[in-house]
Amino acid sequence: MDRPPDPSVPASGPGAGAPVGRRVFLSMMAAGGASLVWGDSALRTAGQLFRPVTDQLPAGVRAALPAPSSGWRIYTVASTMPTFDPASWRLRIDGLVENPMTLTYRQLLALPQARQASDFHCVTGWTVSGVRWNGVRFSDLLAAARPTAGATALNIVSAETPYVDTLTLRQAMVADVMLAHHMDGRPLSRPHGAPVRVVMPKMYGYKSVKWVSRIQLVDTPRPGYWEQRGYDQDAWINPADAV
Amino acid sequence: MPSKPAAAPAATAPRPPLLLVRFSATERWLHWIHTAGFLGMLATGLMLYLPGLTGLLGSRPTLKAAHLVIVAAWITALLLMLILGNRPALRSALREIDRMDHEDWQWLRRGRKAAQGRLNAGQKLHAVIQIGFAVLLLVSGTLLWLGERDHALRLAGTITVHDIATLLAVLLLVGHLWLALIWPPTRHAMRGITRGTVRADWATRHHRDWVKLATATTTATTPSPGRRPGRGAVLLAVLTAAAGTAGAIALAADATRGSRPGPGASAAPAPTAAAAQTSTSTSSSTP
Repeated sequence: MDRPPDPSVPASGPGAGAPVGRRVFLSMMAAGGASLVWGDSALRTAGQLFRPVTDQLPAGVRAALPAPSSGWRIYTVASTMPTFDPASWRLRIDGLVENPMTLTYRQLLALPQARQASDFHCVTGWTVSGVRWNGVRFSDLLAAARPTAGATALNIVSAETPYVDTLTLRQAMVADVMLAHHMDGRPLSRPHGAPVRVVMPKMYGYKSVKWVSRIQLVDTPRPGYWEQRGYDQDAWINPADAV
Repeated sequence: MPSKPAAAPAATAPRPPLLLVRFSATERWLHWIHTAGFLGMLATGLMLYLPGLTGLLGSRPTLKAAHLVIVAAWITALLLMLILGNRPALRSALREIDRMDHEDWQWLRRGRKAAQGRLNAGQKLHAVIQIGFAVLLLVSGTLLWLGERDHALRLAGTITVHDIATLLAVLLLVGHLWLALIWPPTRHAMRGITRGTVRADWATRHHRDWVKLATATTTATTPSPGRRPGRGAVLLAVLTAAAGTAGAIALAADATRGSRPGPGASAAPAPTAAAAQTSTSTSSSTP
């Protein structure tokens, strides 16, 4: 149980004994280096294992726990998530449009449909790669409402009060931007913004408003929920994409 | 009080002094520089990481800039201490935390009875592990920063390493603070890291082997007070301070670059202007 004494070093006193410190340090470097590659999957497995425990914790504590950098984390600003009733749900499109309108869920699905697979990057560092979305492009969505010449931006209002965010009209027309109603082959779930959310893959996720209930066309972009709290209005992940 | 004759190995040994020098000025400075850097990075990091803390102290780009400036200041200050400080004392401290002797294993296995040197086994391991976490945090943080510029450097586990290292380092810190500030038998150690000296009777209870050695060779751990850094070291220190300041400014400029209040509709002329501003930055993104 005691280690055999090493004859080359004195048994005690400063500088005596085995070089344990450097072994501990080098092990940490090895574990840390390996974790750069597989730590995420290990953490995901651990996260699944501890789900029953962590689910009991308050949301604020849960957010502080280390979580996989791949995989969704759900952030909300209100105490409860909006509920979706297909019969009564309406999407209002108004503001600087020639033809203000409301769409039912069924009418939205009747518009020209688009699909894409894109990565979702959160500003706090996590990423979900290759999310498959089905939805409607903003050009098709706004076609019937006909934005006026003065309209330059969309004020996108969430049913989760007071969440709101903005995209310029040009940004909303970027090729892979959509108002999505299906994710990975299934209708959007409640935590992901049922029934419709914005998908803006080239910007950080706080621009991708969930539970969209109203799209108001305006002549100047208004700062969104997080932008009022200091986030960038243009949340480009890669500045080269900026429009 | 000062006389614990049992500790004196022979009749010729000098009387144990009332106070013993436990930590050199260099060690103390390094300790407090690391403390300030760690707490600063932790505070700004938490405000960036937890949506619940957003907006507590400034906007996101400002916090990010502050986080990076603290990193630069922390590294620079640590380097300055290595250049200007008492290097022999640091070398011997490094050797001390590296080696675990027979008594150290006894201390870890059988509780706190075994005689210990200037640092007990727990303190040695804590020092090594915190250095390890600091390196891992610096490496993973650098990769996060680089990953924003070159997506090829986004590794799946970078955030994981940064998060876990933070969490574990904080847990260790909590224990460290408890022993240093609250737990009565060990609280006196705080004096050692603030003023450098500890009471001999306290040291005899907790670090018997060290007291024997320190009283036998009274200056063993005393920093040489007259030691002055050479001209070369001073020059190197000035250059390091200048490089650190330039780095901090470049990082701050780069981090706040995205917060320009420009209209979204304009065709992005800002990045080129900002790139000119941050030309001192070592790797600026391609506009």
